[in-house]
Amino acid sequence: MSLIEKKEQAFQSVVFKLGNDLYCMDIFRVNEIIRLREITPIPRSSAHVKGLINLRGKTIPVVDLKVRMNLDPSCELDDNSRIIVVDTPHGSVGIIVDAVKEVATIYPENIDTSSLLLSDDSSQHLLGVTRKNENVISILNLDKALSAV
Amino acid sequence: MTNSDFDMTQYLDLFMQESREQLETLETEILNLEKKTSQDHLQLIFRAAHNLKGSSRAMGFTHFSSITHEIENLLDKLRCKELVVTTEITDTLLSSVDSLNQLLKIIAKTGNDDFDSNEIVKKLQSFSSHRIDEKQTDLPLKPNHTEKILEGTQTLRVDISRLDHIMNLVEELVIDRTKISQIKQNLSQAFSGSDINNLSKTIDHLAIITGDLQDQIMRARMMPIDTIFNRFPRVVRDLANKLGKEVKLEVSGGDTELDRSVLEVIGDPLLHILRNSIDHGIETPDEREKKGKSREGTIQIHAKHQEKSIIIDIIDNGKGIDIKKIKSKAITKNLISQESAEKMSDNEALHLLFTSGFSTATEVSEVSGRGVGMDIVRSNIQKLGGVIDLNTELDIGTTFTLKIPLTLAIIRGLLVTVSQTTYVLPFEYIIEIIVIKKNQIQNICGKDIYVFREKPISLIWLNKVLYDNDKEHSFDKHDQCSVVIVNYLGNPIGLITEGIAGEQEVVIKPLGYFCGEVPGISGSTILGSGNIALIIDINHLVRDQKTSIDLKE
Repeated sequence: MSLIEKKEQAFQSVVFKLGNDLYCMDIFRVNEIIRLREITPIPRSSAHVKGLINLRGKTIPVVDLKVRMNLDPSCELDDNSRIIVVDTPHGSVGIIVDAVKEVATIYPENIDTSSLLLSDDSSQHLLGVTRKNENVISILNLDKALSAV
Repeated sequence: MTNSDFDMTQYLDLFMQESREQLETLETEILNLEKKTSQDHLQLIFRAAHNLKGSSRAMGFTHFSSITHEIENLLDKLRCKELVVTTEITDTLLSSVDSLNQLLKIIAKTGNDDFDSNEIVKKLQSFSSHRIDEKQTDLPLKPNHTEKILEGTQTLRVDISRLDHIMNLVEELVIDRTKISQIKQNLSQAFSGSDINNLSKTIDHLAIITGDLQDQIMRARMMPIDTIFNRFPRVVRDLANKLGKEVKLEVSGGDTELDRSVLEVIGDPLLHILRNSIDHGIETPDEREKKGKSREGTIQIHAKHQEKSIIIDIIDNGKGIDIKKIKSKAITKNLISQESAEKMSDNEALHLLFTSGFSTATEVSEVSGRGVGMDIVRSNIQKLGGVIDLNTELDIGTTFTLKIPLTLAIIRGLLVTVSQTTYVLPFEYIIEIIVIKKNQIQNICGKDIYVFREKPISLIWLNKVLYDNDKEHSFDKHDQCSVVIVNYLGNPIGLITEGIAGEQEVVIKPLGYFCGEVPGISGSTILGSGNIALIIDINHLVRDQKTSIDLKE
């Protein structure tokens, strides 16, 4: 549904890295971007749930989309790693990313949805792909990527 | 334009809210009427119907108002003693209440009252041969005035989300207070003097105020349990009629208050137990007579406060539960072995009722007895941190006892360490904390046992369960470990930790949607240090371990 919405007009998005690939999400979904902080792991929870963080007195779950989307998880957390806190109907959730690059405007005429026809796992979580300079940026379908397994 | 639309929805909310309350009164009073016709009851019903008519007319819901108008007409006949209350009349009145409830749902969904009210209107009209003059019924009723004068306290409707928000803010305040007192403790080690003393006093005062504040907000979120109990007379009446039984319902303690979040969840389990009592507990009138009991069975529901819990008893004077039957049933259903059935205590056998796939009714009835009920009842109660127990005596009756915390938001917790991480164990389950030596643990048939007060109790290694670590990690350098003895369905079980880190009042935060169901963890909390600690769901954890142990056997 948001795909149709987005096709109609240009929107601003936050571009970030997962592994070596670039992804982006609608800037209006982003609540804040914070540095990595202590994450309390939850034993016996799903693999993509990294644990909980204390964000100003609220506990917020942090998920690893790389695990969720079956991407190469080898990239280690470092100084560039960030947590993007997004709002969802189910409350706030933090997404671990390997770096936040920039805010980019995405034009609907540049969105290529043909790759969505591929039925591989990771493309299910995308709205499409776009190009910026030499780079390919995948547009994340946030709700789908976050929906419980 | 949009402005007037907005206003309309605002009134609609109010209308829905008030109508629901009025309909509840209507139903309760109609049921009372059935027992005893008194002018007082008639007056109450009449007033509720009258209010409903007025407000639905104002909103332009014609079907709604025509039903209420006919109810009013019928009631007026009763009031003027032109008609006498019969079961037929109360049945019709009740089904008209059902129609109104249905209509309310339609209004909530569509915003208009598109509903075929003809049938019910005709039914209501059939009792009154001639229609009475409208103006007569619109006269203000006397008791309305006297009641208004009697109303001493003033009330105000507050949006629930606003109260929830205040509650959240208070929770954060509580966390900060704990933090500040920790900082003060650190400071007082490095400094001394009047400033530190003043700080101490201020923090103490702050603690009292935040405690009071918390208390008051909690109280504002409390609602009397009557809001649930009010549904029961109707259920009992309908079900008893259907099954051909005579059942009297006695309710007490309906004014006992508890948090509305708890209230929302316990309604269905209570209803299920009640249905069970009518269906399986109370015998048919003939059977009862043969046993020398009164033809009419009694079900009592009592609610009361006990410390920070609410206790609800559901007592029937029916046939009781045959423990032998339960055992043999469990054996045929392959839930337990013959051997373990013999060893089982009566209490343990009774708890088999709560196992999934168990049903003692020989026939599957529409009401209950599909074997899916009681296990869901128990798991719902446990989710709330509550406990369910039952007592039974053949031909005397059965008592279900529910113990449910007043609020879900705050609990007292014991902080324990497992694999260098702090966990919270809810206090209400804890029996005792002991320190034991490695050589005091005996291994019998692959199970670790400790003899506690001359009784062997099973031990569960939290380290192993949560992290799959080696048991050896649990011991300190003196080969000792701390064991928290908890109550699991009436049996003591030892949880082995690496140490006790203190006790604290903790604010429970649910894990939420994204973490999914995590077995053995019921939520999280923020400690005074700002660190997050997970809260252990003792029931779930022990149950998991027990089944995995039993399977190994």
